[in-house]
Amino acid sequence: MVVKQLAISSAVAAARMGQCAPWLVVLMLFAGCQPSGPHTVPVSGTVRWDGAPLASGDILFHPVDGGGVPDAGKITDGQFTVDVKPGMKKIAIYATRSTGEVDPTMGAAAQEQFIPARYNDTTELTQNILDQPTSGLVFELVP
Amino acid sequence: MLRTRGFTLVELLVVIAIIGILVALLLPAVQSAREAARRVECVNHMKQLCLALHDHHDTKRYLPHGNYNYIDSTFSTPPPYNNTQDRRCWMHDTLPYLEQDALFDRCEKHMRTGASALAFPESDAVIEVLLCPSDMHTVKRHTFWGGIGTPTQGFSGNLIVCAGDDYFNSGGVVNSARLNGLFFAQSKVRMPEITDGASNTAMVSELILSPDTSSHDIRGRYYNPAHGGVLFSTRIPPNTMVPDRFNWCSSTPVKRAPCIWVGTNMFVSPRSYHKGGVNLGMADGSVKFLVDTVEQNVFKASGSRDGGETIGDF
Repeated sequence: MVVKQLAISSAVAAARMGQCAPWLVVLMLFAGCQPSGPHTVPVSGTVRWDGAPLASGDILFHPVDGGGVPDAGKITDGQFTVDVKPGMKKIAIYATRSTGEVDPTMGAAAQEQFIPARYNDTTELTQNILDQPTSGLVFELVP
Repeated sequence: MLRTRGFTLVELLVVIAIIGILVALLLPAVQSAREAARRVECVNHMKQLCLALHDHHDTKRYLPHGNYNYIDSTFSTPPPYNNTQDRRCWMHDTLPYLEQDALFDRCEKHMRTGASALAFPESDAVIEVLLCPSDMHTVKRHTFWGGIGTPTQGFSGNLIVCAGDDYFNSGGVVNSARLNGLFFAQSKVRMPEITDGASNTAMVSELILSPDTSSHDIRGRYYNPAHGGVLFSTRIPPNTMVPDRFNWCSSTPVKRAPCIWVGTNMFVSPRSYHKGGVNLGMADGSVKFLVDTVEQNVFKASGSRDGGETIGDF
């Protein structure tokens, strides 16, 4: 807000001087700035399940020491793009499908995880994420 | 040279351009003022809920049970309830202190028959004070299907209470009665037990509702709280894209409320549409704005009542 007010008042002043444009552009560049989160790099790639792209799911990049906050994103048609904090990562991939059995209380079928635990809760997948945008990661999962 | 009085085209264009820029600067400010107003209403509601929980404590000498069931166990409640009071939660016990005496009396009468809260005929009654208007999916009363003879599973709200700083049911459902927050399975936390200090301990926060489309998303559903959808954990800072681990969440939730459907190591994180954070009510009744970029260990420490951590400022 301070920046915006500054921008308004200097715009008025500069307009009087008839040379507002350069200053205004510079000031507007700063409008809306606020403290950002930790440093991340975009990481994208493909997840395949049993030879075909995984239709939908979730992918998590856990710090390899188990502490800290993981970075996570959605998998859609086998593709994902996640902003990840660089470093050595354990990767967990989850996806659900219907059990097909309608729960009488809920009137709907429950879902179940079908990706084996070795790919998620007790994952063996690791990847070193360098401090640069990364693309083309491929995770081939088999039943 | 003849010079007529008036404005040149260039002068007019400059004036119009300046007005345009000023309007462009102002419009986002108007929008954020509207969101600020919604956030203030949310703070107000949260404050009222904090006071109501304190009222409950003043009357009964303890904070209400978070859940009557063990978390993620349904139709069975441990002693002293012995399978009655199914799917009752803190919300029902707080009703008299939110000036909802009539609703409480009818709900209590229904529960005394031994039925589940899920079958309470008036479960779709909206309790205004549990809403946060920043959420475009609030008021949520439509559910995928009601079950047990009712057309709906009732009203879902945005306000949830703190179960602790970790998973709800790590190592089995029985452990959901031993969490380190203020509200969990059959919890009866008294103020003196909050040795970390009431002003340092999280009590109330908020979540984002997901509409029931192809299936149920019962996060925020007060009449089906047995899976812990009316509680939150402080293990991950707010508004995270790290999915909640939860049973019965929609397979296509809103993007900002991701969820993995599992029954182990369950937890729900606080989320909101407020820019850059969530509102957080503390055990002393104060309400703060908690930013997304809060240090993980600071936020985690606020979830435990007796962890002995030195809590930083946030």
